[in-house]
Amino acid sequence: MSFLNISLLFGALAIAAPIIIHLLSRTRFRTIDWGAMHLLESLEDTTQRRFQWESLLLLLVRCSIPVLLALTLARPVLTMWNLRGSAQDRTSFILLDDSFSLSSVASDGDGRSHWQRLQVEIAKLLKSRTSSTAPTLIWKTGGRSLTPLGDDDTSLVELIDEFQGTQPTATECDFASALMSAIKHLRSLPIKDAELIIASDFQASEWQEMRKEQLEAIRAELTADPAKPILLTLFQATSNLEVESSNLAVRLPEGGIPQVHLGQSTTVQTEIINYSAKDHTCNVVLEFDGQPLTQQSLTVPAGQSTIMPFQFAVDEPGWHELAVRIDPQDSVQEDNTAWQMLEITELKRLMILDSTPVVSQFGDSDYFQAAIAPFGGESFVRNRWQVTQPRELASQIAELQRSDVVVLFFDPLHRAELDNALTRQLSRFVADGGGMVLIPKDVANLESIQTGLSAVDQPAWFKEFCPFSLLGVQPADPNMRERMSSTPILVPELEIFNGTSGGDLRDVEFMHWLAVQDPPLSLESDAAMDTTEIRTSTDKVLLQLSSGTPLVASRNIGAGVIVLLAVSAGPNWSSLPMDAAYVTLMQRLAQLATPKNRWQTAVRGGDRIRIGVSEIGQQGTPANYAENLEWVIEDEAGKNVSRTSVRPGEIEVLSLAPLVPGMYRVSLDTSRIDPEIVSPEALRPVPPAFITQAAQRESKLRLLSEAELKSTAESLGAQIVTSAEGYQALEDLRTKGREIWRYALGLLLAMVLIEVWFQQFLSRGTL
Amino acid sequence: MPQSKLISAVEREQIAQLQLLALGVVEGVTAGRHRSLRRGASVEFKEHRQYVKGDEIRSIDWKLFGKTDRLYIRQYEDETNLRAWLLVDQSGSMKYAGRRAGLSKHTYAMRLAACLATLLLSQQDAAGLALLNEGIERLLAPRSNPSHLQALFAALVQSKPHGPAQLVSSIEEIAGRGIGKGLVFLISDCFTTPTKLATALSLLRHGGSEIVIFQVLDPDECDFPFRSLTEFRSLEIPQQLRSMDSSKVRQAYLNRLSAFQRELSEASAREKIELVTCRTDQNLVEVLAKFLQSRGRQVNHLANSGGEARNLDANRRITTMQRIWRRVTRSRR
Repeated sequence: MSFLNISLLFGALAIAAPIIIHLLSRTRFRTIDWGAMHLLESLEDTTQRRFQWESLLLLLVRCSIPVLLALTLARPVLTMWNLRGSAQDRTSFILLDDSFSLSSVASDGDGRSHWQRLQVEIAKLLKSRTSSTAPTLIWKTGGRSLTPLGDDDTSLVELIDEFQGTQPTATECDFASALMSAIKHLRSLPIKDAELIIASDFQASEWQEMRKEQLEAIRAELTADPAKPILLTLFQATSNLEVESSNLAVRLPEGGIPQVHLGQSTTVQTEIINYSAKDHTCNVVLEFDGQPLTQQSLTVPAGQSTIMPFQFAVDEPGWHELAVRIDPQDSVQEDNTAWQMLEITELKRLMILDSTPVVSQFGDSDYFQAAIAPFGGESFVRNRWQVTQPRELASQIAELQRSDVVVLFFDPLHRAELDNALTRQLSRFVADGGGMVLIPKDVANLESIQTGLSAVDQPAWFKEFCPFSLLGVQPADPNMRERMSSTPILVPELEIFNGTSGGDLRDVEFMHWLAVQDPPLSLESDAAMDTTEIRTSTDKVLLQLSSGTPLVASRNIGAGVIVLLAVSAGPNWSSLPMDAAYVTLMQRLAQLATPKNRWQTAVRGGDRIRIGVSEIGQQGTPANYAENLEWVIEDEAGKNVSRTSVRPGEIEVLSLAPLVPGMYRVSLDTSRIDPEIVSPEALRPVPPAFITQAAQRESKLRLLSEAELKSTAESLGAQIVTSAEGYQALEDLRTKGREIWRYALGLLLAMVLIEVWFQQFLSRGTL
Repeated sequence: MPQSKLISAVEREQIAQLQLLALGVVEGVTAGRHRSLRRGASVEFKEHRQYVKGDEIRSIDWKLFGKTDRLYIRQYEDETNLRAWLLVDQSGSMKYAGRRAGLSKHTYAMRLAACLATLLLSQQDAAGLALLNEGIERLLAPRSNPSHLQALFAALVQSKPHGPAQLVSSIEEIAGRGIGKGLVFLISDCFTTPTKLATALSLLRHGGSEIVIFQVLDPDECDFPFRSLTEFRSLEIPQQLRSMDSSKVRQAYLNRLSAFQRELSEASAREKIELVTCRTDQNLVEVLAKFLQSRGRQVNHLANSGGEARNLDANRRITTMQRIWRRVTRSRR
């Protein structure tokens, strides 16, 4: 034990006072000659010895009072356990939770958000380390990777300035990964004493997902090196706040809005989610290019979501901004707007590749072309597709560069009909974001197809870009033809077949079809890939026959998508070409394969986003002007967020999306471009804007309860602090020991009370 | 031996004071003649009874014989002096003198006995005295001679309480001596077993005496006002010591005292003994007045002060007292 004010211990000499008083006022027994002794029989005797003991006890109590008072004032510190070195010599590593749930406003009335509270407290903590000899690191945990604040040369003062300029981001945090990364980083540093501070609001959604094994692994990692144990502190500046917050969020379809065409009415399904415990009424406004189109009011039940459909039509081609806003007075404003960038083109280019074209009669590709461009190849205005079917290889390769979708009618037996060079181009085309529809040739000789598909030496080119496992041709029962499954269709592009407006697919009889393995994934060709991820993310059966056999399946390959139709487009396999649904189905297949956003427009905070230049006309080449281009990214308020140059010869950049959720506009600084080489007006950025999406999980606001946080801290072997003062107290405890003056004060008060009571008990009063 | 040799000057002074005090108290409470319990020659006719062989011939009512032709004897109430015994406790416990009362229980008992003796002798009744300790320490036979009062006073003044009380055995001894019929006043703190005391006194009652206990207590014994650490030393057995915290045991003491008093009261009532409890801080006049008041409501004005009583007509008071005693003795009979 040590004392912070050891000189005040001399106050304990006041112990002499009660001793002197005791000696001076020793009470003796008073003797009374008494007659009624028989009435005192068997009553409790108080002997002189007992009285002396009681007096001694009283003396001890009285002596303890000045001693305890002196002890309290001297601020005793217990130093029994292993103390840490000074905090000033300890490397502090702050993992800063900058997920956007921190931006929620606390409900205790001062209007500050959790982030502002955390920022104030962490700033105090940082300022207390200005005299530290050990470095202080701050890593933001939002985004896909940890983002350090400052660099090795940044002073603590600069770091504080930079920290105070940060804001909550659109991201969510993976604390398990972040902790492991931070621990590894600390282990790699040449330091002896280190501390890891997690500054967070400790949302239940982020922390309760951490499994027990993960917590144990982290704890084991913290203490893995006995010579360099790492302290872990959970810094929650949001304690004593309302655990349950009120929040609403609006979402647009995650996969984007189905293909939008000029002049065509499109429905967008908007989801409004109520995360709070009571019903909320809000106005939902649909904005198109910044102008409100429609406004509706609705009540969302507590803990539920409501789908609200909005219809709109686009009259002009080009990029358009779609925004849905709600206006509740809730805790988090960042998730009250959902954006979508739409690129509307006049015509999509579609190339038909037929491995074995039928020349003499109306073949399956002709059926398809008639369905996709019913008004003829030249009538572009009334068609939605510009369809080409080049026969020469060179033309095919050239056209491939300009096409959005390729429809391949394939026949496994006629492998030589497609050039190897073309197949390689097709693979690259899909990987770069193109779409491809695979349709089997409408050959009548089913046995040959069967043989071809089951052959061990299946065409290499086919394997190269056809990711589906085709098991052969399946004939239907002659007495009972196969029909479509009656299961409701959930894919937006094909939802029309739930009704009859696009033709009734259930009327179609299927005689033969390609048996596709379900899941339709070619595991052999993608052994290196994480099958679980693919299965859940991109591998989809879009339409099924009543037997459960996939009729339409799709899979993303790179940036593109491949759609497989399991029946031919001709009349030999099904009655589909003769049905009213044929045209609609073929067009929708082409839509499915069409890249929705060749230029990605919605990313998570911190993700890379590709930005390029759309050249109008044929002026100049990128090599001539690219090095003079600068991309400027501004937020909705017009504030410059970032400015990026490109390397010579390139006109595309991969920029990191800002972490704060919202819409960001991209513009080109063409002031350094020579107008002689290229007209600045001819250069337009694509996409002209993009969206940093808020992480959906962060919208569900619920802090860990005190018990949950305590349990988590125990699992991690961590300490919990809720303020800079609390952290300082913890530091004092770690470095100096536990101050026990409070206990001494409590004991002092107890002794005073005991003395009063004891004195009454002994009752020195006389007649 | 002349009395002046036996009684010191101080004692004489005390006797004088005692006499003065007793006279002051009793001045208005002079007693009258009391009816004898025996029937004998008297002027006051009581009743007739049938003649039996051996009766005096002169007692026969010849007039009634003439009317009824049967022999009847006339019986008259005999008038005689009351024989009263004053039994004064001389045990060591009677020495206790609390601060509030300013006098010991013995002194108070002595004064009370003097008052009673004066009262009795002023009525020409006979008063005797027995000082009780481990036995009968002193015994003065009842006499109605006024000079006997001096002897009583001297005996009282010379009495010194000491030693352990043997009250029960002393009373039994007196009963064994046969004090005859009369009135017995026991003046004591009664610090003995109440049932035994009552039983002993019942021997006297069965001998035809009426028993009155004057229980004398000190205010300290009633209230137990001590708060300090106290060592209680027995007045009867000085070796007996009890050290205790008075404040702690006070309630228990009071409970015990209450139980003791209740037991004494019940035992007295059971044996038809009248119990008068008085505190040494109480005025003797008040005590006697209350006592007499309990004997007859007619003299309730005596309860307030002796002065008032002095102004009353003596003949009237005598008549009243006579009426009281007669009623009492008849009811006992």
